[in-house]
Amino acid sequence: MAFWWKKNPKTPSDYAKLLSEHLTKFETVSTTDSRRKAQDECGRYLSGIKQFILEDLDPVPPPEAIDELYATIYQSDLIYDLLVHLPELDFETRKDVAVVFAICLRRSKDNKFITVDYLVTRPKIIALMLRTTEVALKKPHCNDIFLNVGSMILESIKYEQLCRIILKDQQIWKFFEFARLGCFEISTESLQILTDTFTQHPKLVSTEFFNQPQNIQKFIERLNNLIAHGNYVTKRQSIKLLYNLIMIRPYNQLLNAYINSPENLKLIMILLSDRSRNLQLGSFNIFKVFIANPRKSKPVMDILVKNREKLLLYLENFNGDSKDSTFLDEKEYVMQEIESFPRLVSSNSDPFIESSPQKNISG
Amino acid sequence: MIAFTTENIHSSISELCGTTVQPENPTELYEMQECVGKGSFGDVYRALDKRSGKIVAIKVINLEETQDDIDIMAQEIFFLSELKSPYITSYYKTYIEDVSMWIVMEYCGGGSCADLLRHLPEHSISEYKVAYIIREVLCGLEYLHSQKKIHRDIKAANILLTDEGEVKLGDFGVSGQIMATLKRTTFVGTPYWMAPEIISRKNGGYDEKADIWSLGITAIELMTGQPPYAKHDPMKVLMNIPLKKPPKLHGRFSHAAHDFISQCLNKDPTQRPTAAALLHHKFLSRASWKVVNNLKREVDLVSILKSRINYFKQPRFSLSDKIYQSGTSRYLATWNFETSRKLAKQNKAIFDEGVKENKSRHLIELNVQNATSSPNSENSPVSGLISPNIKTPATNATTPTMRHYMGEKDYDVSMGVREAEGVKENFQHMTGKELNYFRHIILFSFQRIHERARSQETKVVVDRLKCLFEEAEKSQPGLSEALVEEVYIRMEEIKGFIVERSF
Repeated sequence: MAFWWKKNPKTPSDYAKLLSEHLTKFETVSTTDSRRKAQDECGRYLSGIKQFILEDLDPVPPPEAIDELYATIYQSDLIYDLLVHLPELDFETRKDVAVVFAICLRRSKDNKFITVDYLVTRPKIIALMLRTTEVALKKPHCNDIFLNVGSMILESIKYEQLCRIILKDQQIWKFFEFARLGCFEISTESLQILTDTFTQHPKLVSTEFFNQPQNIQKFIERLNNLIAHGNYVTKRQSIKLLYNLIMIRPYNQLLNAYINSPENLKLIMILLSDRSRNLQLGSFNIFKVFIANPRKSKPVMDILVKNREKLLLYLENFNGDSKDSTFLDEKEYVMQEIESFPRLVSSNSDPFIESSPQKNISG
Repeated sequence: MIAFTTENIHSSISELCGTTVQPENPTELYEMQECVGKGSFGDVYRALDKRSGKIVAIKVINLEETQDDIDIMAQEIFFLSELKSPYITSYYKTYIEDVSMWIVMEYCGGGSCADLLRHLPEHSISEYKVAYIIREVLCGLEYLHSQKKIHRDIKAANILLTDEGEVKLGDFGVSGQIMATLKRTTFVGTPYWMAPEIISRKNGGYDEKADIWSLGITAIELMTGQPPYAKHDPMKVLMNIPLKKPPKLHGRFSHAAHDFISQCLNKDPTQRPTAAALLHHKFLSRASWKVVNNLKREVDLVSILKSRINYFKQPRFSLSDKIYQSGTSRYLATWNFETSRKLAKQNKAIFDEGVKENKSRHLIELNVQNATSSPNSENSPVSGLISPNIKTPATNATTPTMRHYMGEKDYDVSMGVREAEGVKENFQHMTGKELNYFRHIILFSFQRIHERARSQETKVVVDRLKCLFEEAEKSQPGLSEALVEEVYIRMEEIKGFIVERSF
């Protein structure tokens, strides 16, 4: 450290080199003082990099110097190292990591997103990013760190090649679990990540993810889990996600698998009768898809027939004061469909009164 | 215990999906005190953080009532969570309780600068104290703008004071951004502070310099008690701001103050100084004025004045007004999700029908006689158990009890025959285990009656009765067994009587 002034950055790429060097210091720091010092140094260099790539400086550095800076970022695997040490950085520097990452992603040269291409050749970076969310949960300030990485993941999903890496990573399933954690920020961010992953590139998701029945099965199961057990907000958000997904035309396989399972119908009917009007309306949107299905599976039809009268009674007053004509039309349609189901003659089998409970039980 | 209630379906799904994560319950972590503010977005409470003993502010937003998208609110909470500065009210955490969002923030017990203006006898603040407030706000803005963020709603009402009289920039994000949208009625309340470029939206919108304009207007507000044109119609002001010359500070104030404000109120945003540059303005940097480092005196004075006029706020939504009350079902209906095996038995049941018809006629008679006290009567608070004996297939869904639910919020559509059979199945399931009369019969029955209760009031009574019974059983073990036996014997007698009469 005696000659640190010699290392004073001269060119933009020097900042990247020095940052890379200083990040390794976290591995050896022992005192809070030396940690603070390493944090300060890293923060200083990263904020320098941010200013260069934002071209927030006067005068703007020459384009060659910026090119060199990017080249250094890639060569030194700086993004990877930043992710490794993310939990050690201070609050403002962590935010800068996410900002710098987002600007890097947008960097294009000769009609190519060079950072995106670089990340495709280094899949370990996206993999680490997905895992850093889980690491964050064990740290103090877990919300902040989770949101930092979360925003980086959301930025990555915008690019199809990166979304593909995310889809193929088993870690994506973990976000269903995170979405059920009590913490609002983590749960909402996780749902946002799931929403974006599965809605931003429908063609990719339909041909490379939902083309596998086991993925569909697992996906529905996990989503149902959120719908059944999440808190009020998680329920609302996950129902909305489900509806958006089954409405995406290329996701036919998902839709078919979903509307033919009686378990899914049960869950939606339960929510249809929830005390929350928002949940009722959210699940009605899905319920109507079950009803509109011209080829209902037998178990689904059985449930609908068995509950024919109950459903008609319930729907008659359902959201009665709504003035939304689309909703009213849909409700009318749903009720007409249900009315057309066969009426079930009720059973009059022996009530258990006839035999004494004692006899039944004491054996 | 109950075979086909929705709770049961849930718990079975729960088992399938593994362990459940226990979310933190904010009602246990915080002790809510009085409501200290309300806005279109929700109510603000003072609360005690039981773990740290610190006082916090909690904004409660009822998500079932608000039209705003949860996604947008979440974005604004993320926005808040990215800000950490001593000049900005800190955001701590958000919880979901019932259908509300609880946003826990730093508590500013001194109220806002607008409160000072309202309650101080002179309705204005002296110039050197305004300089102190503006300096602190600029420090907050310098931080905010360095993050490429804009406050959008700088005004005295959003400059908050701690109990110690320190200045904090507050009320953005959840309130600020939502309020700024046109659909909010509060929009009309804020045009006085708006920068011309926000209103005209020329040249692709606006940037952080809009806050500098609002700061200039706020300086006038603090020194004179009102923003310019305060007496004019807000919509007219809104249209005039981009057309007219910038407002000026009138009155006997220092040259520095006049200059500071005219620099802020430059209609060309590019000509307005940045927050960082303004911090060096002589209005703020006069050495003799730097002695002021809080507004404790004003805060204390205003709090005395407020307590004298018994100043308190009535929340829009009561905290105890929950949609998921404990003791009531989460759901408004129960569905029939039996396995289809049951259906097969139906045909046989229909054949048996003729045999039972005689019996049922008498039971109906019996019911008519006791109409006032039976659940089958429409006057009863409890919905009827549609006994298999009295029901014919044709009237299944149209028996009086089924029709009766219409006017009720929480009603019953279940407890038909097949459920009774489900109960039987449930029973057989228990065979071999020890029968607990209290748990398996009494508690079970109360739970069913609870489900059948038509009104909240009835449910409460049923619950109370259940608790009493529990107490009784605890102090006199065996009571349940005795009662069940007696009821059973009596029922058998009555049944025997009916059967005798019917032959």
